[in-house]
Amino acid sequence: MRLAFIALALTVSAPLAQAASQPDPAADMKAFQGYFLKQFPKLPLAAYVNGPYNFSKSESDQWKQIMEFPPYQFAVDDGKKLFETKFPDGKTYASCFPNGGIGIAQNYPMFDAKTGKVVTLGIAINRCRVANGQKKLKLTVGPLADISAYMTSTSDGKPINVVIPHNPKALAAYEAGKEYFYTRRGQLNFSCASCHVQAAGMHLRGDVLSPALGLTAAFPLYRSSWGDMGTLVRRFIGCNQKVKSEPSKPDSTAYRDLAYFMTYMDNGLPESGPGARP
Amino acid sequence: MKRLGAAVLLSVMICPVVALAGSATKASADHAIASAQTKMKIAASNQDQWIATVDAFKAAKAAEQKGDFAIAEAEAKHAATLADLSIAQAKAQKKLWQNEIVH
Amino acid sequence: MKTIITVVALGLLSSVAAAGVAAAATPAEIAAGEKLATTTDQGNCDACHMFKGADEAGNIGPELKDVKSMVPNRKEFYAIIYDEEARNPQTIMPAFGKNQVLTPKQINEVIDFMYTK
Repeated sequence: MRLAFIALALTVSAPLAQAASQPDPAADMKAFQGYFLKQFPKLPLAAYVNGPYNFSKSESDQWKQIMEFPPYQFAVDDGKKLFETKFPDGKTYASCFPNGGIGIAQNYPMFDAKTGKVVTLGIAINRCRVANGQKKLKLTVGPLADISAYMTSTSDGKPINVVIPHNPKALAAYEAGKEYFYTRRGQLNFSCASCHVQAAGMHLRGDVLSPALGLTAAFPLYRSSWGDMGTLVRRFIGCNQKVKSEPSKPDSTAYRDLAYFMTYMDNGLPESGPGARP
Repeated sequence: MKRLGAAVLLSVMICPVVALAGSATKASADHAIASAQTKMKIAASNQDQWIATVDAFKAAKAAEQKGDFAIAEAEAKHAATLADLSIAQAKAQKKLWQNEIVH
Repeated sequence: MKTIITVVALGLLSSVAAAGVAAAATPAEIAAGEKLATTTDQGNCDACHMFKGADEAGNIGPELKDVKSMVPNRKEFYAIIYDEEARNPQTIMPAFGKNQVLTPKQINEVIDFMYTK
């Protein structure tokens, strides 16, 4: 099978090389979603936002019980209060976002043509703070995770809609995120794809490895193993550490681009954050 | 520490090259640390710095501060070896990552 | 310190290997191998492989059962743990030897333990 593929690749290598030099995010997304739909034919696209619970009855049963009193509810409530609290200049977070910040989380990460960089929801929250004379918050945990949780809760069920504009820098950021996702790193030599594509749905010790598809949709989330809320970037750091690689900085270009690529792959899936995971 | 003694004794018997570590000086330790640091900068720029590399480097620096130059040199050389491995891995991945793309 | 011991172990092992000595594993070696195989920041074999006595083992890699008939050739077994990617580019098994997660001595202890499964 692999031999056949290599033979095929050889015969069409010229057009392939041409295609590789021109990023085509829409085609990538179609292939990415198609790969999982073929891999798990019984699982509808929208179900991927439930990650590991599609693969383990015991975890899924536990989850249903937990969701009677969602562990992230405190974060949503606290986040709402913070979101509505006025800065010393009298403005609120609502002043920094389209539609007052309500129902817009599904559009992040966003490409900012002004800086030529990807802006995640967390980074946008910090930008808003700086614009109003406030200090940046930690991008991984705490109040920023709570504010994100509240903002994301107002987008519940809306289709994820990350846009990659026809801008060379936006395409380059997307490509860099894609390369990061598939590149093996760390002393254990794993890529994101090693676990979340190749071994998706399998057990790493007692834990189910979530498929990469839908993975971003439930963030920020309450993880029982954390004991509190965390953002997607907190998970990136944890994954890097698990493969014995030094994590990047939370606001690094590497993590922004990775979030851009991964969330773009989830386009069309329903926003389902904040979530809860084992 | 007792294990280190035994190891040094063993190494004298088996492998004279390692025994030379015993004659490490501040200069040789500092040189090893600087060399490791250069490699680690490359590894970091490749976004593949290993945690073990950083740990060995920190141990080298700590030993150097205490005047344990043999340990400092050995740890720095270990950090350099790991950094070399991670650089080679990152270099190979510059092409290999494309094999993992789903189609 | 660890490095020095590692280097010494390397020297020792290569001489043993060169001499082709295949002495039976001692209970101490088997016990050391078991500890490595089930310790998260070392061998961590049970994260991916099920084997008898493993607690909450994963299923990413094949179950390790009757390992002597799975990989009868010890050299081949060593190569799998050392750098399986060299043999199979598609594998996601880490290169425990090449990337110095385990020392040669430790790999041999893991093999000693696995041969009891």
